Amino acid sequence: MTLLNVVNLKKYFPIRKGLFGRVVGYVKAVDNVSFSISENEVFSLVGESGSGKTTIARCILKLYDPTDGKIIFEGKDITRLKGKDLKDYHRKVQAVFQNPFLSLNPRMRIADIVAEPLLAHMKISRNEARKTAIKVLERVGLSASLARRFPSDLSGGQAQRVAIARALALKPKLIVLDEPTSALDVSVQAQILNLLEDLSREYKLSYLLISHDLSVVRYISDRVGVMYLGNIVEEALTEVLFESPLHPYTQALLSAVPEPDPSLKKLRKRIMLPGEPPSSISPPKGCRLHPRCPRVMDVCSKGEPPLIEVGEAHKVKCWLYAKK
Amino acid sequence: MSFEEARLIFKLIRVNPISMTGLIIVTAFVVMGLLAPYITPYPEDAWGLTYNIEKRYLPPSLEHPFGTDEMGRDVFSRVILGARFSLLISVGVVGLALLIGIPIGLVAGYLGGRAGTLLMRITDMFLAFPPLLLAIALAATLGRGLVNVIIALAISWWPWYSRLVYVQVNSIKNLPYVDAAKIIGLSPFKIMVRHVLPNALTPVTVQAALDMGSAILEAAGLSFLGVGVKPPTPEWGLLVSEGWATINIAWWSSLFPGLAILVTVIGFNLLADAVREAMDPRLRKAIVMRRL
Amino acid sequence: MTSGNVILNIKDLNVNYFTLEGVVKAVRGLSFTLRKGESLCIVGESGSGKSTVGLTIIRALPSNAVITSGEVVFNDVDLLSLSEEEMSNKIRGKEISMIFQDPAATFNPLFTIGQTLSDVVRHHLGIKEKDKVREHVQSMLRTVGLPDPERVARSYPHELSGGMLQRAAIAVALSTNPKVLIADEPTTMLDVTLQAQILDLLRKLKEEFNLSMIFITHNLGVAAEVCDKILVMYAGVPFEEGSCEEVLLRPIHPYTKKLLECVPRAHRRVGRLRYIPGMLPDPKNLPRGCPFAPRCERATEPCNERLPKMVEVRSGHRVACHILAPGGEH
Repeated sequence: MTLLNVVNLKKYFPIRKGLFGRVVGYVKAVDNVSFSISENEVFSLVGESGSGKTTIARCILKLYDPTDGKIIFEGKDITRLKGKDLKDYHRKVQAVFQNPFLSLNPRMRIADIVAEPLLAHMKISRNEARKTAIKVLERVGLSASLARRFPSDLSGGQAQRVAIARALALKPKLIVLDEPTSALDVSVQAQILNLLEDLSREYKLSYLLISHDLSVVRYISDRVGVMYLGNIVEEALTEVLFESPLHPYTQALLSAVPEPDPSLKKLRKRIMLPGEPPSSISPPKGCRLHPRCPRVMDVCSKGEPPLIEVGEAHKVKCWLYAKK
Repeated sequence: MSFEEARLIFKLIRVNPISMTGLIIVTAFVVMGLLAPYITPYPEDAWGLTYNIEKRYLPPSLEHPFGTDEMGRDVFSRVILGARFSLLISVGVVGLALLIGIPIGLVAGYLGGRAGTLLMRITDMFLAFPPLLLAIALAATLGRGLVNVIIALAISWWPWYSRLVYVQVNSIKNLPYVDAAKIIGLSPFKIMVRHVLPNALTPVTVQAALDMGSAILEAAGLSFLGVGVKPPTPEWGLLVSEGWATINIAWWSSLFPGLAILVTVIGFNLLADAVREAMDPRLRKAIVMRRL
Repeated sequence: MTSGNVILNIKDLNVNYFTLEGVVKAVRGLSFTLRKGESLCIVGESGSGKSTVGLTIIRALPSNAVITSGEVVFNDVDLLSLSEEEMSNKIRGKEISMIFQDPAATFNPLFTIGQTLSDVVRHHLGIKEKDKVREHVQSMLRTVGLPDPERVARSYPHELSGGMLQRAAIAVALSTNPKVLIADEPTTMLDVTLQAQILDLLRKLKEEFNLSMIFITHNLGVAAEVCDKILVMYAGVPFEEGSCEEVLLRPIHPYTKKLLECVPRAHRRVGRLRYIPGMLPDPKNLPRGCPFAPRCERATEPCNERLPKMVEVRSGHRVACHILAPGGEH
């Protein structure tokens, strides 16, 4: 069952200049992106900074209004939701952010932070909400004794557990995880990843994971979309993508990840992308990667490559795989 | 401000004798203001209800530590009771200014857009006047009296707070915990009151507490110019002004209230520096080093 | 490695920070040697003291830090005994350079890249002729792989992207032809493809300049990419040191072993991750014995009592652990 379906999503940010805020151009942060997430599936968007992955997440979370396109959740387009329908949507879609300390209000007690979504959506007393909150806190591995503490009393890992508890409290269908372990130490990261995995199984949750860390993506996702300058350039099941990536960008990205195992290092061949990603104000014509692509052809600078289905659930946006 | 922050600030003040002096002066002033009617040696003189022709222009003595004025009233009693009016004015002015300034800054900062811009332009309009001139003009229009002084000063005062709140809110409204509150589905009002405002208040409360010194000084200025409180209220500025005419025969009736203003304002400024130091992490490190 | 010449020798270093909340023991009993042309990686999580080590060597610790004991011997001179003047004229930025996580830390935002670089060249190399300074600046910018060095030299720091600015910072660090380069998390703020570029560059420059390098990172993968030797630290204490392959393929210390097990991998499929229970110790309130003891399943009596000392277990492979490398006594 498809839970979320993003269709031709576009998000352009106007660039204003001068006294009267004249629009002089657009940052095309997300340019025509489509993907879907099934029930109880972990889908990841991976890419470097400026690829547009966070903008997509923020559109889904209703923090941004898309410029164009549809976001269909449980069969309904949510881009124009209002009133009760919108509140219902917020109940089903939650989020966990990168920096746990910035995502918790420093002046609220832990139990109140987790109780807040319950109070906003259910007709229950503050005490009942707190009791439920403590149960959720215990489920994510925090002792009830922390309930009356403030976020500043916690370690990074504990604070991220509180953020997860807050997202979990309403038993949502989808949780957007925006770099959930990037700010944590390695030894704590593994605890949080395992917790997220357990919760998705237990509560039949779907995740949309936004990350630049390919090792985390490989560990936790079922399916992955690779983003470059506002486009998804390759989409495949996790194992397929990591074992036989097709798009030159995916190949380069993967080969750039440092590997702690020296014995594996020798087997890998490095594909270097020269230079840095161009700005998304005026992306290159044709394929957006072509100025940096090691396998560039004539056609690449002429037209935008189509999204080509190369295998089961495996799509690549690259001229190399177009039928001649 | 959280309890921990307050405790840390106090800890830092305690190790610095200069900051400590400021704290002692301010505490003494507040205590004096609260207890004034019960500790003045000549309560009737203090309220300005008496006229003792035989006790006019007495120089400072044990009986009258600050001497007596042209009406034969004990200046010491009047200065002590004056603390109460100064306290009243400073709390009133700052309180009223906060009451106007905070909501405007909060709404303008959080909502932004056209409404926010309009609110801030109005604020800027007030900021464009020199504050003391604006206060004088308002006080003159409203007429003399304690309440009018408070209103006049508060109106020239609030835009500073709404600016401060506005800047704070702008830096807070994009933090992830505000996003998280939106994702929960809270209304903008609840987000403003529960998540944005409490975190925007620390610098504002500190600033407000420290502004009390300036409020005393400006109220005294208004009284001195004759647009402040009505005589015979023993407000310090008015006392200085009343004594001014007879400064050649009785310098004490002007000097002591003037000293009271000076000491109190210095006290507030010393405390202000200490608190500002304590709130700044870089300066904080310097203080720790000084102790080692 | 390439030769037996020891260029830097750290002996029993102890560094404390004094804070309002108490004393933080940032580095405890650290000793290591760095040979000519060798790269040593200090790996650790937050609070491990890895960055303090770098700042101690170039004597750039914040004012509330105190080096309570130890020596930093560079070319037979204890750097800790030098005056600040000698340090800034002869050592810091000349013989020993440093690059940081945030490359902007190297530059004054009010000066162009070219101005900063020429200042360094004039001050440390004593080159005065305008043309020669210019030439040297251009050649350094070319060396670090910056396209269009003329334009870069005219740019202000904020006009360059993170990757280009880090290259420029490397150019500043290497312009005086230093013997030792200390790199503190130089790629942490960069995207993976840029990280790969910078790591490649550092590897290339290390060969070209015959540099000795101290590389500070939290990322075991990055360590494996650039280093000959690895030193693992935890809560200010050195735990394990050895060649890159030894430490990563045949780790001995329980912490190193666990740490390797809890990193997810991009290049190979892993089963469920193992993790280290509990959390990093509070630096103001460290356990009396081995700081890892509260999280270690093999911990016994002596672990809670005494700090373990480094013991050579195999040739060139040193470990500080009461259980797996007994014999380390104070």
